[in-house]
Amino acid sequence: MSERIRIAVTGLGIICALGRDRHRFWSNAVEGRGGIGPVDLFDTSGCKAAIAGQVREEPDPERTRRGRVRRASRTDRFCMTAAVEAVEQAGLAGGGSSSLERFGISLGSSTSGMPEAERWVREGIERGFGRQRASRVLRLPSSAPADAVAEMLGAGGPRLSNMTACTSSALSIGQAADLIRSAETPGMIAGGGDTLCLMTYAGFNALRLLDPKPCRPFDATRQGLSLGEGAGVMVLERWEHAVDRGAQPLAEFLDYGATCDAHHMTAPHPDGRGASAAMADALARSGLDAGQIGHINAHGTGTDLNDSTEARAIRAVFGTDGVKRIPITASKSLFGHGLGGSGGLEAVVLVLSLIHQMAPPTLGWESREAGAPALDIVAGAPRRLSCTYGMSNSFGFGGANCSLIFRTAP
Amino acid sequence: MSRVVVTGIGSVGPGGFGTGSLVRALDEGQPLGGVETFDTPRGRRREMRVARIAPFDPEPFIPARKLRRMDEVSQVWTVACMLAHSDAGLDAAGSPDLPYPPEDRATFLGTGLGCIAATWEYLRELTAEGAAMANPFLFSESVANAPAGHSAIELDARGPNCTLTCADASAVAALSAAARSIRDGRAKLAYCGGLELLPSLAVQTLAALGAPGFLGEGCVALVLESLESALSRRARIYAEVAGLASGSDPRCGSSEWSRDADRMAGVLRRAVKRSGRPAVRKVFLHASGFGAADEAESRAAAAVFPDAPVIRPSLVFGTLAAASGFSLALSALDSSRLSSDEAQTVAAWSWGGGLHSVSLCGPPA
Repeated sequence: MSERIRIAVTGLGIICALGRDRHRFWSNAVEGRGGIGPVDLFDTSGCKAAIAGQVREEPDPERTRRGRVRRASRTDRFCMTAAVEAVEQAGLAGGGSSSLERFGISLGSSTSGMPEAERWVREGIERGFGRQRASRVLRLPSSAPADAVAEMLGAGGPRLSNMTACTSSALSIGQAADLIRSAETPGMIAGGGDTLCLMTYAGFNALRLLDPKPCRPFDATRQGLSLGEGAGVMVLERWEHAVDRGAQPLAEFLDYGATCDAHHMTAPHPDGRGASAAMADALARSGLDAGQIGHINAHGTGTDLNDSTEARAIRAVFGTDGVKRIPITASKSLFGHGLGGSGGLEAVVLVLSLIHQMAPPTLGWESREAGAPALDIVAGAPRRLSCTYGMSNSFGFGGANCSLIFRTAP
Repeated sequence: MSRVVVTGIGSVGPGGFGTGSLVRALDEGQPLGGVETFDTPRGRRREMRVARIAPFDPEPFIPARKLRRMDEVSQVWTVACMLAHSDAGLDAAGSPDLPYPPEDRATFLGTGLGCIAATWEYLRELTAEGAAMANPFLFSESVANAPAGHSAIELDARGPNCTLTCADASAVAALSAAARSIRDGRAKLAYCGGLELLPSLAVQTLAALGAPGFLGEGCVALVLESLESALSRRARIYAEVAGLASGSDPRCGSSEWSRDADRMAGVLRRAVKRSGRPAVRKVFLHASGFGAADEAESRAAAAVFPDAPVIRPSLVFGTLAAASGFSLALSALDSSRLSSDEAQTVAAWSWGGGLHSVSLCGPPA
């Protein structure tokens, strides 16, 4: 296990269907306003659903115009917006070009510049690919958001880009902590983002996983997921580094557990073995007992298989009685499933929940299905918390699982 | 923290299966592949040398019923992992003799373009036939971590599973993350490496973007283990992963290569310093094919390793090939001839400014 180097969270940034900064997001979230509505970024004709958690407040161009990043994709702009907010809160912005020189970037994404690539393919089919401006697909690789953020912020430390489906940005946060603990860097800007695009929308429709109504994670009547978009980014620093420069830690990142189901490409293992192993590993590596976790931000997609599997996995780790006392929020009911960005988005939500000692509600939840574990889903209204430790779960295609654990700042 | 060693190598390259073809090709020093011609915008045509992987039959490795559900990149990566698994002297997945439980086996794949062929095909169908006609198989195979998901299923690897992308440097980034995972006790064994296949549309696009004139396909998987575990099962050890370092050049545009020799030298120095083996016997340089970037790399190497011979595998295998995985494989093979206090260093840079380096040293005495 890593030598125990403490890691502070000193800045948070978020953009999603509920708002383009943490203040607007949080006020909307605790008031239970849903961000899922009609999607107009592409034609959903023939799909079972026509809704998503689309970002309506476009990224602030003043924020993303810094640096000389050209041709930024929608995902790039989301990540840049959230990153600027996070470094500003951390007190790292405006400190001259050297303030972030040693910081690294670790971002996850899955769709990245896909909307731009879709236009390129459409026009290529119409006009011939030989006539297409190839520069329009420069932002397609999932490494592009990290490159754009690094260039904008002048971050010269390690750079990692993760594309492990829906665990991408949760793993990015965990691996950022690994790099800090291995003394590669004093701090990392970590998280991730993704954008809505026809490719994923049609793909999930083909897999019959879209709910025509806003998703209702863990509810007995759930019919599938609602897609979303945005970015969630945080500044992680070696604790002493943060304190020495006068920063105020917002929370502490303890550790993470990462596993793989090794079972099926698109379906979780029915016993939730990989999910429960990730949660158990995160607890063990954080030096915690299951009874110390006071809040869980669940993966909670709203699909039949994910929610039933995750519920069983949570019960396996926390026990039949334990799950009755842990308030659980499924944030995807608020802003949809941000795919590769969801782990970053939900990690930011979890840290905000710990800071405010308040769990946002899970929209649409009314009752659990027969035979499902009796989870304590926060529904209807936000719930006051009284806890020190929280967990955020992310599970993805390919059987990848990742659980993150944060604690309140002392 | 555990020390980490390389005990298995598997490759699928232009010369076929196995590492022997890599070594022979490097020794011969002639560029592999052939010249292909591509249309670029405004009616121009451009010739590119492309070293493609040799046609291969994956059926001896993967049952036909499973192959039907796997895209070619997933087949190639999974076969490379199986070759590495076998090379490491590990028994077949599920064998009671396997020294590690499934939960202790991790997967770290690095790839720049990932499942680009499936993605293009899926997008073409989607564009032509509409969202309602999307092909669920192509969709799931277009997800970038599909190869790592498939290999984990075939090898029952239930530990951390991660797909990283840092353009040409992806394999070194993946090896670094895998080594950290073992050092930190998250896994006892990791399949890691790099993968790049180049459908014609991708080469055509890269040609139009001004990519260097020699691109290569390929895949390399390495088996990493903790030294303690490798010794306990008396495994053959190729090399020890002794020093890791990474950084980046934020002044480099997101579609450019770093030309900052000082930054490159800094990353190389850190990898060597962390290895604790200042006696570097050979350096595997990245050689992206972009003049100014390669000149900066040469200056950095000369500053840090004034006396060490320099190898540039991309001159034989092409750039992009296995996303720096061939350099790792060749260095690991060569390191087996070194003593434990001698090292080799691999440099891998990515467009967009990522800088990665790893120092491998000879097997522990």
